[in-house]
Amino acid sequence: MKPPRAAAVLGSAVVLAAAIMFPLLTSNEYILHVAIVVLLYVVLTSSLNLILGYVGQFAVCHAAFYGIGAYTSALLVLKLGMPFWVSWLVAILFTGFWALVIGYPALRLRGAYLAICTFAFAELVRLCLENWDSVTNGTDGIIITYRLEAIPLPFGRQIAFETRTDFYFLALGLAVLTCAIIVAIVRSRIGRVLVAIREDEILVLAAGYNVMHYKVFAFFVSALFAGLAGGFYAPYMTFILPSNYDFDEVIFMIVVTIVGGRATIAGPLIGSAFLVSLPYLLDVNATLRMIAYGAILVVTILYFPEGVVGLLRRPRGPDRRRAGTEGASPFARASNSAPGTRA
Amino acid sequence: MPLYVASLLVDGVIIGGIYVLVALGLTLTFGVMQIMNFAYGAILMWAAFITYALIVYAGFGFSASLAIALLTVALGGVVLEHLAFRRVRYDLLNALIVSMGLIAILENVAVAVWGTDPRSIPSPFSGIVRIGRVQFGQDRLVALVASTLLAGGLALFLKVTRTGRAIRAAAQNPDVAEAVGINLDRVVAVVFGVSCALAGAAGALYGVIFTVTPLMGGVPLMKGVVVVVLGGLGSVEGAILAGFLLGVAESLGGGLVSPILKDAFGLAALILVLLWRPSGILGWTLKRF
Repeated sequence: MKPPRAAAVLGSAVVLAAAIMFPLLTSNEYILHVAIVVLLYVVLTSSLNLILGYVGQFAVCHAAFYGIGAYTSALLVLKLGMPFWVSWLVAILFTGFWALVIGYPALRLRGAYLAICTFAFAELVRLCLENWDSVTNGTDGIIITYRLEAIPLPFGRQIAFETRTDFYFLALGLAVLTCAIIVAIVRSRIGRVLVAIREDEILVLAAGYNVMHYKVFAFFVSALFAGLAGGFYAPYMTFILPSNYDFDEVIFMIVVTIVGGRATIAGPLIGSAFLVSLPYLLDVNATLRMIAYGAILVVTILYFPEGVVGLLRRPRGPDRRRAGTEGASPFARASNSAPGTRA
Repeated sequence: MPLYVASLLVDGVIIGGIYVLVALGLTLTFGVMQIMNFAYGAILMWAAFITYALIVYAGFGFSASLAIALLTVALGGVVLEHLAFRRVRYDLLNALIVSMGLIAILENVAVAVWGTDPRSIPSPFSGIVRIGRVQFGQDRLVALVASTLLAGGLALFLKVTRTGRAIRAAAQNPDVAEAVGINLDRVVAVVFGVSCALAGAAGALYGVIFTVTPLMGGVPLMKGVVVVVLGGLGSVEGAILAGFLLGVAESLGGGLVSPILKDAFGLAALILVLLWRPSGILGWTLKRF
């Protein structure tokens, strides 16, 4: 593992300290709620970034994994009476199981083919959630009646998960855990192979690496975190619906990741902090807000394809003008290698 | 029972015709630009609304309104290509995100202008057609004839005209196409305009048979994606064949097996085709058209 840069360490320490201090600064329930949702999206988009940004695999079923996590955990508690924490663990593993089932065949495909295959899987999951009425209660969704069991602490105290601050710290813990694991992976030898797969899959294959195993590993890890986020979402929001996990949701995650800056650790953090909180803070008509949101998105992609982080990192020079046009980004190339889809 | 199956078949062929139109536009843009334009559903919806507005508010006839609507979305498509998609040509991921932004803009502008109530395009074709004992609305027959003519016309256009040859060349190899003097930018603009016009035709026909709402684009788009993959990305004949096949399969499956599983059939078929025959059921693309 490479030694981290001093600036990165300092930056993370400052952000983490600010995040820990945050509930002390405000006791406003609404602001805390927004902060929790932002942290949830940090988990979702950082993990999506692993497969999408670092490995450059255009898999669009992250929201489906998120939904599998949420529904599995909720159904295990409500139908089988399992303790929440156990159900959460099972839900995460179950999500990972599906990632392996879909990942092994689908990741042999590249570019548009992978996107469409994972899109079809995501749609099948949504159709299943919407129509398997006897289990998922269909489009009416599930009302979550259970609560998180309190965690006992030494000296007779406990974390009861009754206040929003408790949930905030749980969400913060999940976000930190996710970022730490993703950092550990991308800075390791495995991470360098993953990035190399994005840059030139054939070359990595020729160098003797089993590309499929690396891709499936990244896909699997990324799905585990989506399951983790899903298990948290259900009891926090106390209501889950199939439409929370549809194609619009994955598009939103992709947007957050990319506008923030793909293949960077800070990108999903910045993207979540701004784009997730934006709708809550901008109290305008929903229709106008979506129009503005679409416009921000189009302009970002066309003019700042490396997102906010890319903008901060380097001043724009003359050679940066062509970024986003053909061949300028390594992300562009994957789609060119059309039907030769078997790795 | 045979009568029921026959009417299901007819329904399937008719809806399949609309799938074909949606898929043709998608497959053309993919063949030439290597991108999936997901904003396609929103363009389809706008064409339906423009047709509706011209008939209801401006009092134009059906054919005139349809022609104006197609021309408008074709021009709109050329403008969109020039302003946005040109910068993400051959870049699947960025193009997808650009189309998501465009969907948000186009759908919500439509909501702001027309609201979310479903409307129906009044059409002059209200009679009933009988073939033997099977009967169906005249509007459906018109939809089938229109989609067949458009699909056939497009295939002919690609095959025999100079522009059609240029489009096929650009799909085969953009660099060589440019080297032999084909203006790639113009070809792409034409392709975008044509594909938006096809989406427009599909939207207007869809609006005649079903209803027009700002969110109507999602379902035809999804079907279009399924058809494009089944037929092979970039394949025109494949899209035509797979469109009709999917329409019939869904209609039969929905009517005879289970209406809930209707959408699942197509998606499951799509995954299987991708895994075993990623170049589509015909196994050829625009590159070898």
